[in-house]
Amino acid sequence: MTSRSLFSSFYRLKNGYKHSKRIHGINFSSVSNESHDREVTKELSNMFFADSVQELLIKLTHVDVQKAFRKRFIGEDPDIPIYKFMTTAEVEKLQAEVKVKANKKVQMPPIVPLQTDLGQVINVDKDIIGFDNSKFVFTDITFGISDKSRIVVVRESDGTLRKANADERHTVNQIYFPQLGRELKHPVMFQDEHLKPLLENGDYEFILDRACCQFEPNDQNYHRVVFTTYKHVNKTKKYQVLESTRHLGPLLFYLAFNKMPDNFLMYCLQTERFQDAILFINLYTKINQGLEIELGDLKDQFKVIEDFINTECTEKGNLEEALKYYINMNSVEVSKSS
Amino acid sequence: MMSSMLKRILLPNSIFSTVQNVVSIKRSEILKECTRSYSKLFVSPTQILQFKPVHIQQNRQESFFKKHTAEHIWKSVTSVSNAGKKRGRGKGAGKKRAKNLNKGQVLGVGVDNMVWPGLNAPIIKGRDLIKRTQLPPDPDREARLIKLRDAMGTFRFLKLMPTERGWSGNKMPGRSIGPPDSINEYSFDGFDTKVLEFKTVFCMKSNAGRYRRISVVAVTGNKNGLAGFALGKAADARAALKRAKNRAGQKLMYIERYENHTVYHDFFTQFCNTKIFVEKRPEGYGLHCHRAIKTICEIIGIKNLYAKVEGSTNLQNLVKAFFLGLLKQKTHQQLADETKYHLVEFRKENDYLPVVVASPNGDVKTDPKEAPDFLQYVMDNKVRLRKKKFPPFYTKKTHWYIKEKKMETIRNMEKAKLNLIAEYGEIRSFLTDTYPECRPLQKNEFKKQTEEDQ
Repeated sequence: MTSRSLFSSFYRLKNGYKHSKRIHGINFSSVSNESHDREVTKELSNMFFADSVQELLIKLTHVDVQKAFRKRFIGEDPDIPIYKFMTTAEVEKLQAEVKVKANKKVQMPPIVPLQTDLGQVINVDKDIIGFDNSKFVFTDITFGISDKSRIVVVRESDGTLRKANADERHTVNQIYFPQLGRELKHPVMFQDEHLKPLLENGDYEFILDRACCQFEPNDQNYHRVVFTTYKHVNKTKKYQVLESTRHLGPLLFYLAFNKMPDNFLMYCLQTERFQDAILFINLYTKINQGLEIELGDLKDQFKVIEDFINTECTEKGNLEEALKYYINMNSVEVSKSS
Repeated sequence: MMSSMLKRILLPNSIFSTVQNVVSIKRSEILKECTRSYSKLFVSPTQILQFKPVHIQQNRQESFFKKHTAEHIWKSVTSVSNAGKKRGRGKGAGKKRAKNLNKGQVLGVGVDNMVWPGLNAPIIKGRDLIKRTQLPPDPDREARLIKLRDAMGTFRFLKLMPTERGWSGNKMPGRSIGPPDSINEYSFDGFDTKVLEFKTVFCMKSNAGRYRRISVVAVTGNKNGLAGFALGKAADARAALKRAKNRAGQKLMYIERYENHTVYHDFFTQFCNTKIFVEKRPEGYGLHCHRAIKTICEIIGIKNLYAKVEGSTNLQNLVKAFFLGLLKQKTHQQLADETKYHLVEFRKENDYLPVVVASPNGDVKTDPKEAPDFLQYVMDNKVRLRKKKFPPFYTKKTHWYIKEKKMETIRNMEKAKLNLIAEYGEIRSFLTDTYPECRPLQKNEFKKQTEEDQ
């Protein structure tokens, strides 16, 4: 890459006014939230992308065509419906296409590790100390480079040349390559004090969708917002809201790698989602122990769940009772039908 | 002789010569006569030309007010000639009315505030005889009377509430006249009737000659798909309204609606030379159509629709054409059965998810090429002429270019201000941080300042 294309544009940050304030004062992420979580490493991320895990997560998501294509409130007026006369073959072909499209619609946002090379010092040039009282940002706006791999460097007024931090990267990318729905200044709703009432309201999908749109997945802010939301959903057991959306898969993955299986198992047993419970246990063991569970008949499955509750869960009493109740109900039904 | 003399005397030029001649001949005689009878006529010429004021006073035995009755006098003031009436004069808000001047006056009460026992007061009060007395004058009496008369003089139409008004002013068309009268215990609950046409019509009769009647077209319905319309005529407006309303109640028909808010599909309909192109619209669109069609839709319970009327807008034909079109609509099932194809619906808000809304009973045709186009099928191959909209002429003028150029720098100013207020709570300049005195004029600040100065 020639130097001409590399420094084809530079972005000067004025001291004072808007941008300096943004860059100095924007760090509203609180580290305390993340201290309880297991760190997202490269191995964990690879595990997330592994085919077997993805398959499990998609199964757990329960893709429903109607819900995937539901009406979204995005400020657009409704339009007149279009009608077509079709043969049975055409209709069947369309329905097959729709299923593929629905799976694409609920594609899961990735869980990836945080970016590490932010603010890395490249060079310190003592000769130009005090050359200006503003910082200079250099970037490469050549066509066809992804936002993630774009070079953004900052020359401080004390002569330090360093890689840009997360907020500078966001600003530069959004200024030169604006993305629809993403805002130059992060919305206030992602600040902890404003996020809380939204979570209490149960607007999980809105928060997660907007976080996906606003932040890069390797951003610290993204991890903070998304993981707090997952925790809140887990606490309130409102998995139903996220079913057949993009977010149930990552949520369950998060629960599995942070070893919080209790609430979801309880939810499965209470709402008679026995298969989900088995799938989740499968996922859990795969992530934490790297093992595959061999599934036999129904009794075997009950045994697997019981073992899992005894070894991995904290609220053993409640879960065992729920399991017993479920087994009783099920056996009665089985005996009735036979 | 006397007259000739007078003439001569009155002519100033000949005065001297004649007088001298006559005097020289008969001096003594003339002198005698003059002094006796014509002395008064010898006045100076200046005095003769002066005018004296004359005072004339008519003295009639009969007055104008005595000669005519009050009714006659009032009529002369308030009425309009026959020719004027035909042109529609003397109607409406400015019409003068006769005042009853006796209103508010009581026998025995007048300008002098007198107590007349037996007339406006009792004769005996307790044991005392009441005497005729004059009380101090009542200052408000005159004003009260005048106020009463002023209120009487002009006629004002009853003001309608905005919700009760029709299409225009306080005319009948578009106004609601309530549900039809109940027939044998069947009451029209939840129905409402609206007038569509209200006009005077004439015909010639052998006995009565030009015979005048009121003709009313009204539509009635329950706002839930049931509606009917009828024409009613009567000599009297109220009777005509009632007749139209009750007849409409007996001609009810059920109209299919799509999800209870719009028509099932676009359609074309015609009655005589009235052609209507009706289009289906999504929820929240409203009724964009001729006012009569809008009123009918409100009564039927259609909330969203676009209609374009072409040709004649004769109201009775319009109503008939619209109702015909509504009745000719086909439901999705009917369309599927007729064409022998599945009917599939795609909605933009559902990201064009195909939904099979109707499948034909029996076999489905297998050739996709023969499937008709939905819009063509439903419109019966009629296409509405949609004229191309050209940009307005002024956009090609120099001044428009200049204006656009000027606006370019300030086109986003309002948005920027709004963003600044959202972010900092005030409108700022990029210099405000370093120089706090550099603070642009805030919104409404100029107004506040001027108010304070005052």
